[in-house]
Amino acid sequence: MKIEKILLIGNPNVGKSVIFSRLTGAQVIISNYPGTTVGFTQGKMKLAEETITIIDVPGTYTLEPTCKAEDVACRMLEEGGLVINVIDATNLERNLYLTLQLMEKDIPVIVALNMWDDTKHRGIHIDIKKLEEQLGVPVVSTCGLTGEGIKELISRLAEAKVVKTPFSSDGQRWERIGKIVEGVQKLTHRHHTLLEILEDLSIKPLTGLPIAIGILYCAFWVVRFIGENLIGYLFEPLFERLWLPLMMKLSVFLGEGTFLHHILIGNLIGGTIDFGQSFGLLTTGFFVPVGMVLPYIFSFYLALGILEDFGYLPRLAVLMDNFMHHLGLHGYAIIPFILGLGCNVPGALSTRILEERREKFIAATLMAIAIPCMAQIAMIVGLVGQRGGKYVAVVFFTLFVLLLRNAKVIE
Amino acid sequence: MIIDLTQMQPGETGIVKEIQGGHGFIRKLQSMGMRPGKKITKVSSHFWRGPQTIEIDNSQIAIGFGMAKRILVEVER
Repeated sequence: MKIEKILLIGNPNVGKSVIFSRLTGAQVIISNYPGTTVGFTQGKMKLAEETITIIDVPGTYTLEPTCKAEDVACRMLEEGGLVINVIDATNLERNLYLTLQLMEKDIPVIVALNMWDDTKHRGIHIDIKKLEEQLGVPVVSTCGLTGEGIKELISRLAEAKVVKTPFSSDGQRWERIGKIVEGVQKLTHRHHTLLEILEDLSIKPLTGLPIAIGILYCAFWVVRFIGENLIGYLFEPLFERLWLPLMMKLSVFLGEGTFLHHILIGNLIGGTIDFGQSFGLLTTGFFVPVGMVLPYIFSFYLALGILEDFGYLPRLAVLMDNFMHHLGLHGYAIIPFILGLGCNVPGALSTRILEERREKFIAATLMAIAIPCMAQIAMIVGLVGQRGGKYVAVVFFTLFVLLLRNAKVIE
Repeated sequence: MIIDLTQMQPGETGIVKEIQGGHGFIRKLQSMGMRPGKKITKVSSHFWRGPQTIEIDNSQIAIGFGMAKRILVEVER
């Protein structure tokens, strides 16, 4: 059987894009935000002399053409090909719903049981052989992140089967899924690990709020710490020892007072170049973004990445949900706000995760007015902080109040 | 006894009896794994009409107050 086209179909956030990048060897951007793969991505893969087109279909829960993402998936299925159904092994029941629907179509299916490594951590045991028997299609356990199982998946592509079992109703499907899961999956009880106790605490408002404040405080402290030391130990020396002499030579070469010198080097302060004051394209214009702002942006995203990997952000969203409703937003909108504190640009971009247009508008506007980005914060702290920390607090408080009042106005 | 999700106590386990809503609402909950007949455990709730966190199928999800009020659960009380 000649394979010409492969479709990666599965629920949102199961790791289709990671598997896609593994199969095509392409660099694909992987993100944790829901609704990331909205258009579809297409790539090519080489299999024994043949070039196959692979399509990463947007994540969908069902094939019923009632929703926009499903529409795309449905249309693609009509065009034929082989389907790799990517399933989140830690959520077998929910994922199998789509699998059964796929099996009703006249198209060969092979299942990739992804996130296999996660099942061990959670005490979930799945009998793969039994699952294969029950479904009637080949099942391969994979881990997109490490690449395990991908080779096996590729070698078994030819085994993909057309099953075409019709189910008359939803109830029938769920019944079948129930039977399959019962026979195939075993959940073992795990001890309440310290992490889980922390997780539970972080959601309950009484303990959660102090934890949130603590974590945010630590995060900002880490950002400051890394940022300052990057500047102090890496960037400033680099600039002083390597760039400065180079620029001085250029300055002499160009001749002080000439037009080009003015643009590139700027003014010589006290006979030499001062990166803060010279205002030349290659001096201040280079130092400020790379030597002053970049370290903070780097450390900010490092801290944010760590928070995200810990899975803390959704809990923060739950905690803030009540408060966010006063602004006309859902708890999840706290994430663009936090990003906005680093830089308003990715903050504004991330408002795409909000569902309604109204919400996006409110969040983006509030961010522009009341959330200072890292550079602005640095300025506020630098300028006002010199007169005493309490003025910094005044500035932030004013912004906060602005936030609340204008939310009403915008709505 | 049949109560709605918001009335469950933290730590309490129940079986989902009914989801009061239209097609879209039921579908949305279905995609999160919530269906009649499912066993769920309440993890915590927020004071004053906040989101309800429940454990279902080995994972935790948070449901808004309005939505949670329309999910009926049977508990042993």
